[in-house]
Amino acid sequence: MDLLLVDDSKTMRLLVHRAIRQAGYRSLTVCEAENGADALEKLKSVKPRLILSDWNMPEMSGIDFLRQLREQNNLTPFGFITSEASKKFKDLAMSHGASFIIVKPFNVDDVQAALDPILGGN
Amino acid sequence: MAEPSSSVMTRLFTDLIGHNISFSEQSPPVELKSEQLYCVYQIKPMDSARVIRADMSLLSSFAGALIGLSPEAIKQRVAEPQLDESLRDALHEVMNIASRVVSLEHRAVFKGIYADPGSLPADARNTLRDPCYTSYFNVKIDGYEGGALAVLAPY
Repeated sequence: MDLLLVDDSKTMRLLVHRAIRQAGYRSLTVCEAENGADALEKLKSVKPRLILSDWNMPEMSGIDFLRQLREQNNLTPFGFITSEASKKFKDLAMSHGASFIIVKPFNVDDVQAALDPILGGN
Repeated sequence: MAEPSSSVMTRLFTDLIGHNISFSEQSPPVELKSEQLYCVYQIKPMDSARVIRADMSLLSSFAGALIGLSPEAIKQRVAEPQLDESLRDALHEVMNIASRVVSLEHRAVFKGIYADPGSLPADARNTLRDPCYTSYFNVKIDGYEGGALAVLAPY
C-alpha cells in the first residue's frame, strides 16, 4: 500500500484521487480513512509510503493525528491537504514533522510537486 | 471590512471547480431567486459571524460541477425531497474552501450551511438581519446555471 488518504469529506478524497492519477501516479495503491482516529486504526494493518491528511476533521484533527503518529515513533512521510493557508499553521505542521502542505484549492502541479520527492516520480 | 473582491472570488472558485467562473460585483443588489442557502463563518479572533447568502441553484452548480455532474443531473438531484449526499458533501467542501476569501484580513472558520434563516446561530442571524457591509456578486459558471451571491459582514 502506497498512500493513506485521510479526510472526512468523500468529495475531497475523490478530488485528491483524481489529482493523483492526473499527476501520473495511476498504479498507486490508496487506503482511505475518515479522520485521525480511523487512520491510526488502519495503520495497525497497513504501512504506507506516504500519508496525506486534511487538517480539520471531527473526532481527531490532522495535527493531533500527526502528533500521535510521531509519539509512536512512526516516521512515515506526512503531508497536509488543507484550506488552512496561514504561516502559523504551516509552522505548526512543520514543527511536528510534516513534509509539506498542499493548500486547497490545489491543482495537479501542486500535488505532483509534493509527491514526486517522496514517491520518486511516476 | 476588507471585502472579498470579484477577482479574488473568481480565481478561487475557478481553481477549485475547474470550470470558468466569473464573479462580477453588483450595485445596487442583484435580484435573488426564491430558494436561498446561508453559509456561516466565524471570524477569528473576534468571534464575529459573516454570512454568505446565495441562490441554491448557484451553490448546487458549484457542488455538482466539482464532482463532475451534468447540469441536468444537478437539477434532478436538487428537485428530490432530500438533497443527495454526494452533492451535500461537495457543497460543504466548496463552502469550506471559500473560507479563504470570506475575510481577507482575518481567519474565517466555516461553521455550516442552513436553508432556514431562522435556524442560524444568533450572531449570524444578527449579521443577516442588520449587516454593516454587504458585497453583492452576480456569478456565471461556464455551462451551468449561475446566480447571485452576497457576503454579509457585521462591521
